[in-house]
Amino acid sequence: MSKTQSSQGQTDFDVLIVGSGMSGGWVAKEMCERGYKTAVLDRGEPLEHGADYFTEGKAPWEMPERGNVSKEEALADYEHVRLCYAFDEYTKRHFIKDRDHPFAAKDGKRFDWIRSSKVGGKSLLWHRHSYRLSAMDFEANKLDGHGCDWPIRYNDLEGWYSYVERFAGISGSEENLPQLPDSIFQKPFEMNDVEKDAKTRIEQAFPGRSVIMGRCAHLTEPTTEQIELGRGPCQARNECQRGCSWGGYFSSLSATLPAADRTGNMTLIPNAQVQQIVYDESSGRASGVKMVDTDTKDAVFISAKVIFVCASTLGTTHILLNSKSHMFPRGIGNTGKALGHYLMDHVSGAGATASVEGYHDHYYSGRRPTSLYFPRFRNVTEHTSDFVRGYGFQGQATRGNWKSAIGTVGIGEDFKAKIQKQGPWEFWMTGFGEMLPKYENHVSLSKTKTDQWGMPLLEISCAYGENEKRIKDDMQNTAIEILEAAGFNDVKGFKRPSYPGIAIHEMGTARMGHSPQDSYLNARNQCHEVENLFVTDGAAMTSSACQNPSLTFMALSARAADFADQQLKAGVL
Amino acid sequence: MGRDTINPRVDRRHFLLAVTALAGGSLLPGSLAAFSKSESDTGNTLSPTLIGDQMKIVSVIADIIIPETDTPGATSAGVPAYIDRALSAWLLPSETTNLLDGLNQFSAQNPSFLTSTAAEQKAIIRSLDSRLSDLPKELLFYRQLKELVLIGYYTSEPGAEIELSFDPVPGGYVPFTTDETVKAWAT
Repeated sequence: MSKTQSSQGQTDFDVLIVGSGMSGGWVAKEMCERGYKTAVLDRGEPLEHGADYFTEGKAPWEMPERGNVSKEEALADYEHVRLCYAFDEYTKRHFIKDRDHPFAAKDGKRFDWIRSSKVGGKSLLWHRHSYRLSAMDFEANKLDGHGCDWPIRYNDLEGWYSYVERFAGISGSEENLPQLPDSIFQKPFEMNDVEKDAKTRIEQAFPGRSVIMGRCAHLTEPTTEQIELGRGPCQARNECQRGCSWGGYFSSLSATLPAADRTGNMTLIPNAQVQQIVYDESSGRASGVKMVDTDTKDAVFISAKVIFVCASTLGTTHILLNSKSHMFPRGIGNTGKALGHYLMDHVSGAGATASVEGYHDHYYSGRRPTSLYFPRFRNVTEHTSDFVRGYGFQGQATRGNWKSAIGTVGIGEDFKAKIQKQGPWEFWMTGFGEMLPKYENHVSLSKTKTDQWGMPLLEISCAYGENEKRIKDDMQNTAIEILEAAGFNDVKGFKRPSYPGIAIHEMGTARMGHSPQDSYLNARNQCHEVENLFVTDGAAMTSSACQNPSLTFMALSARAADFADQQLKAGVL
Repeated sequence: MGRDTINPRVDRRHFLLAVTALAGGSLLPGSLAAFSKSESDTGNTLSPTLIGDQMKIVSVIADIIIPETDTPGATSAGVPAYIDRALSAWLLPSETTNLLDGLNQFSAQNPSFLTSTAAEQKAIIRSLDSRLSDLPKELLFYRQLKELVLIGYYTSEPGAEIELSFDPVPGGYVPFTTDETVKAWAT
């Protein structure tokens, strides 16, 4: 790696990507396959697909604490991460230790930032629900005036959705719903009989509502391309976040990074905390990045012709804000008001549970790695004046097991015999609602505190607003209404206090738009002010919609990489 | 107890080979590595938390809750050792203190518990258990203890594989018609 660079001369790499997760992995694959020498830098430690999944396939009795993380350790070291549904003894090492990577809640507003500690980022840890945004999602900001207008429409992304779906592998069913366009599907997971009957009753009671099988990035009919990359069909273990040697689910480690690697064009650099994108005034371009080796704390400059920042929504904006220069004292390319602002997550934590009578002669084998999905109907088929936008539900029917016996009365042979039997059926559903982009939900750099590698701490000021609170109320009330219509008993709504971040769908803060005044990026995920700088992760999102967003990050990444390739070939970049 | 369960580790390996043969793909080096990984060190020794009669009382209570039948009971499944470990390695120190204090009080109130007949011991625990959701503060330890017994038993190898059904690699999600003789899944 050179310590110097020249905007005219040779660069260390053609393309440099900050972040190796959902988005960075895609850019790496696309650019390496097009012949560019590409560096992929990740703050995380190396994690070799398969070989480093140390807890994969381990039975509970093979784990020192049977899967539990010491509560004291969780409180001390994993203040936020411990709240993630996937955090346990098996997966602990894949999450960041909050204590070693502090950030600051600003204005007294709590944000539960869930981060990865490894190469592959959150693509290793995600929940794998995969949905396209729809035409109405890309038009929503313009229609109701919340947030700036997306500079692209569904048609711009449609082909790229198909492109990434074919490679990633999405299982699901064709439904022809305008608010949730179909993907290129491998066959869906099955519904059990309780779910099938619930679907029938709910769709009869509410003609505008659908109950479908969750669309997820799991292989059910692997293609030749997927098999060649060493991937195989999902085994329904549902232990995904430990890592899956089969590559049964999509992660950058199982799919995009191996595809990039086999071209011979990729250099993957772990333990690389990128602190700044360096701006070269003479050329008016980004010349490279300044990174710090997290092991040695050595600072290194690496140059490249084109730079993609895919360091996760807040990781990306953290770096951009810290990329100060004479020309851009508030962060590279930051001449407007958008960088650092309009932070979104989804609103979650409300739904309902019910007990289901009967179906004693129905059971299932396997741990289905996805659930049912209830596509958005609010302000689609059923309008409300209580709030704008809407939400979707995830839900499923399962039979109770031994865990249901905790806290119940009983001892001895009868108790043991009862637990040995299949428990009663239960149904739960929980909502994910859209969050509006608001200027005041923002991040900034601490003026006084840095982390151990010298990076100013990120300060986060973000709270749900009135629209999100009303959505959350409606998610609870409607879940109750739906489960009662399904004919279930003992229907109980729930609405837990939750703070932004915990849906782990953080988006915005470097959004796409039409001009440097209203946004940071243009319609090609290219920084308005610095033409060889791209952002294709969640930071680019102009609105949050209510769908799980990773599939959109993938499509935006592949599309932006294709554009950068064209520009490079045309000699523009 | 009869144990003719096939080692799941072997099962998984065979399954993997079958899948890759079907799919026509070569065996993933990474997958093979996943099966040759060394067992995690589950034998870490921590100083015992349960001392003297505490361990004996916990063992008796655990076996009253989950007795030996045609399948192993709590003690055969190593539940007391699990509880001893969980007290120092999982629970908060305050939770552990509460449990130990409660256990000591229980011991003081029932000084002849360990020398009582099995029927007498069971009657004492049954009386405690019947008030599970309504226990006075000094007896709340029982609620926590019972939770540890259940976790310890059903996450143990005998609890998961013999008492319940355990399938490390289901291969797919398949709803099926069943009857009462089919055991519940452990995971």
